[in-house]
Amino acid sequence: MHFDKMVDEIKGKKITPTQITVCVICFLLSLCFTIQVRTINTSESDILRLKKENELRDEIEQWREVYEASVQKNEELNEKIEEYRVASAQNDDTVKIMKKELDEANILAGISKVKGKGITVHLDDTTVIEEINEASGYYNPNVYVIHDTDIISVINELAAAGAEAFSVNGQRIIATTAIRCVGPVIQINGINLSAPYTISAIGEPITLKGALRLRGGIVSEMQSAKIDVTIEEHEELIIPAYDRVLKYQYATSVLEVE
Amino acid sequence: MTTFVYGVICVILGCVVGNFMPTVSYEYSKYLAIAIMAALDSIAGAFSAKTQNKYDIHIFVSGFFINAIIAIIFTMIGQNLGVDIYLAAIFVFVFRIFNNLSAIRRYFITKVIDNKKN
Repeated sequence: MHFDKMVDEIKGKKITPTQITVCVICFLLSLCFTIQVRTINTSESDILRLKKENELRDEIEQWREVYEASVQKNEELNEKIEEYRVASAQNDDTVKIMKKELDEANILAGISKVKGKGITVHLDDTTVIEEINEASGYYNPNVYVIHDTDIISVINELAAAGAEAFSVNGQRIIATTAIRCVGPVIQINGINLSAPYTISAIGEPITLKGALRLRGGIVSEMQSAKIDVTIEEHEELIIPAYDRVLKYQYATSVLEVE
Repeated sequence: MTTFVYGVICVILGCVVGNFMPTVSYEYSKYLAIAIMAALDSIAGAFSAKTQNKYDIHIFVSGFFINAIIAIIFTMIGQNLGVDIYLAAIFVFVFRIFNNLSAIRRYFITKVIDNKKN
């Protein structure tokens, strides 16, 4: 047989330097080849995912730029409108009255920046988680985290006490604003906000504070859930305007303007 | 013939050992790939040299290692300069492999035809 002959040949002969080099080269090449194939096979899915992520990130970046540019343009145009209004109001009494009405309507709609005395309520997630852990041996984060309902009830309480304008972390609360939990954050006006939350409200500070601090009221309820609540009074508080586009698709006014 | 047997044994050994070696990270796998292409190019070159009776073991071995190392160095330089030099290197290697393979094919085909004629 051929094979037996070959075995005899191998046994009989010494290995020559040529054979050693060939062996070394074959070994190295196949070694590298296998390692490379394994590397590519194991990491291919990761790479694809990374690529996809990078592309999406770029896209977000681009859209953000577009968004910022249009926000800036919007501000500029609004300033211009205000200038025109002021200019036209100087000449005419009826226009002056209309401007006053418009300003009030804007405050109510939340599309103008407002200032006045009021209070801010700071809500922060508990800092005593460890103590709770040790005390009960059981920790349910859901109980100790600030929820959308906490913020809604604070705003509701303030509104009942006569507050006139609200914002949460700089987001103006208007008639169509939704406040809800989205995963671990709270979404207001389509913007994700995370703790700590600062709720600003314009109104009579003493009344507002009293409404929150009622015995068995909202503050004591939150404090029992170990949420940090601090209330500050302010002589002058500025609440920013609603910075989105107000768009009514379905609602139209019933009163016809004559 | 014995050399061939040794070669096959070493290839199998290399595959087995390579299966148990840790994998390289993705950034470096590019360098390894280019080194493999350089080595394959050397081997194809050696075969085609053999068909033309110009084969020399020193040229083959030195080409095998030095080409691989130079390819890696070029890739590194390209990486630092932001130029994809490795693409050019791969292009050259694959181009030469095809050339050498076609030279080998031509050699064997002419051999077969000559044998038939005689």
